[in-house]
Amino acid sequence: MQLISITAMILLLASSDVNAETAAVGALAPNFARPLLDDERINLSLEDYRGQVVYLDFWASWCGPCLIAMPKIEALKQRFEGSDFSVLAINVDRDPKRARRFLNKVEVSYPSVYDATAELPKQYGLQAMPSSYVIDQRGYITLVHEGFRKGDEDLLGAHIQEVLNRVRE
Amino acid sequence: MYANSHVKGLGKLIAFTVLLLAGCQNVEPWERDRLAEPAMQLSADITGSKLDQQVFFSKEAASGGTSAAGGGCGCN
Amino acid sequence: MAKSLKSPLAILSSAAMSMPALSASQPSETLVSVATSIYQEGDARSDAVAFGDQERFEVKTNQFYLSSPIGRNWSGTVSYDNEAMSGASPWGTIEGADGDYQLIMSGASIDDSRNGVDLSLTRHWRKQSIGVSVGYSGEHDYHARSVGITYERDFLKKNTSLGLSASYSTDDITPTDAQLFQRLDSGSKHSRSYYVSINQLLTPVAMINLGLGLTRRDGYLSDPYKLRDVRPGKRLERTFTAQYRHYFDWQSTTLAANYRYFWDSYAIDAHTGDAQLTFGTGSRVEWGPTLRLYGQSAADFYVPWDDYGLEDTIAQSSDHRLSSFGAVSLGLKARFKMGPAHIVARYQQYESKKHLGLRSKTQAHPGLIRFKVVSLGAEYRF
Repeated sequence: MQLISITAMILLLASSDVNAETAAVGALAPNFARPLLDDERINLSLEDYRGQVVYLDFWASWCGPCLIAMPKIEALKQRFEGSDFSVLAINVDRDPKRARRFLNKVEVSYPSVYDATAELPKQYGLQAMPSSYVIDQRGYITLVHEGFRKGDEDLLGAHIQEVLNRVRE
Repeated sequence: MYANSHVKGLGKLIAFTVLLLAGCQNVEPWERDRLAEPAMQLSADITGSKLDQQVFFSKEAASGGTSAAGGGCGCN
Repeated sequence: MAKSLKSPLAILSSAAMSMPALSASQPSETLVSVATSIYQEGDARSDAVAFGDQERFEVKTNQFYLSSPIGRNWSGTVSYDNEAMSGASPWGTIEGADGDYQLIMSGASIDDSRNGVDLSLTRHWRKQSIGVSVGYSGEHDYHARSVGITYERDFLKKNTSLGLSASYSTDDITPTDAQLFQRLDSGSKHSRSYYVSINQLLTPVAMINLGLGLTRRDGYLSDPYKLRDVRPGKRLERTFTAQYRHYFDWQSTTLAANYRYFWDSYAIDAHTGDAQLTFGTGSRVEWGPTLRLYGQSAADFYVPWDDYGLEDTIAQSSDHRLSSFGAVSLGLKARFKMGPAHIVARYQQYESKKHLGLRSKTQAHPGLIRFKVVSLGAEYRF
């Protein structure tokens, strides 16, 4: 009896993870408009990218795997140069100065916008840092990717190619 | 020896503690900048901790309190 | 046109490479760490030594540690320690002329070295991990082998993590000069340990880890190098630990505060509390003080001086480590960062204090020690 109640409690706890809301695959990616880290006067919105396949990357200067991912994401961008593919990064540092300091040292050619109120991670139901989303040409999420490990750039590249191919069919 | 009642009691204590703690403030993944600092980790200085453990273990009666339980020595 | 991309790791001096505390996640970087240290005990007071060498222990230690992700789903660690020990050690105590008691120290210096190797391999999944470890530790008269298994599970986006581990070790002792000093020829002991811990993120700046441990030891648990040391052949040890971490914006300060309560079947109770402050967390130089307080009660078979007339089967020991005593330890630690390379320097001074002992009934054991440890290490991350 006691063993059953212990098990029930642990299962209840484990299942609470499943119920967490996340912008799931197949859902429409929440739209937003945020200022560029490099130039606050310019706002970028997700809608601007309608018609393109978008790789949306949430990152922060204190997150190691986020930083390891950056050159690999840049390589992805280079790989699909000429296709309807864009990379947009969203920075969630509490202090944007740290993010800018970091970007000054690591050169990536894709834009980073700044989310001051951290509303976007909530809207996208972020479960971990880093998290990235592949969004298709109509604005729907096709992939949610957590973390960034060795070989992820190949997996992501294959998925992006597949999404790009879908339009042509 | 250790009656099942001890194990059951421990299991209940663990489950209760887990649930109690789970009621704590939820810290979102993007709010963990300060928690992620290396100095904030339990494993902040593994080499130093191992040395301390070895030193204190061989000079005091108490030992343990970490998951690393192996590695004996002829020191006490 | 490809732009040059410097490795982010090389540039960054303060990125948090590993996510909070106990978690099942694969580490994202490789760490190599080496350190060398010297431990030196203060000499025993001359009036406390009845016979033998006053010069106490010195240990030089070299440590190596490597931790790395392996592929996409695995990680491993390797550690190697080498200790070179020298100096005299108490063999026993006798009642002195004034009713106090004195040490009998070993005559010749003990010159020995210990080598230890530990390996671990862990498989990671999204929310859990399983790891196995093996270890070996050997001196010329002492060999220990151990195996262990660890399971970790994350809940609620890693706000809560559960850890379970179990280990088993076998130690064999073959005392030197056994014939000469009528010591035991050889003995062995087996230890089984279990540990459960819960890690909980409390606020964006605070975290706690609670743990319970249980260790069962069976076999030859006495000290063969003492003149008369007979301990029960079974020992059950329990620990409760609480580890707290808090970050303060003031001077980017981290507080690490830990508490352990130990209680065992030898009737020993011990409280251990330590706190460390780190100033300049995340910056090029991190430094700060450490404080540790310790207090233990005596084992129920502890005696201030040996009774050589007792039968061999009756438990009795005058080992100072089983007496009621306490200790205060003060230290200083500094870390200097140069990109992926860090230098770590530590100093610690430990002083036994009789009055911090729990439920003490007898005088201070003359063998209570004080010591200093200095260590210097280097770490490299990539």
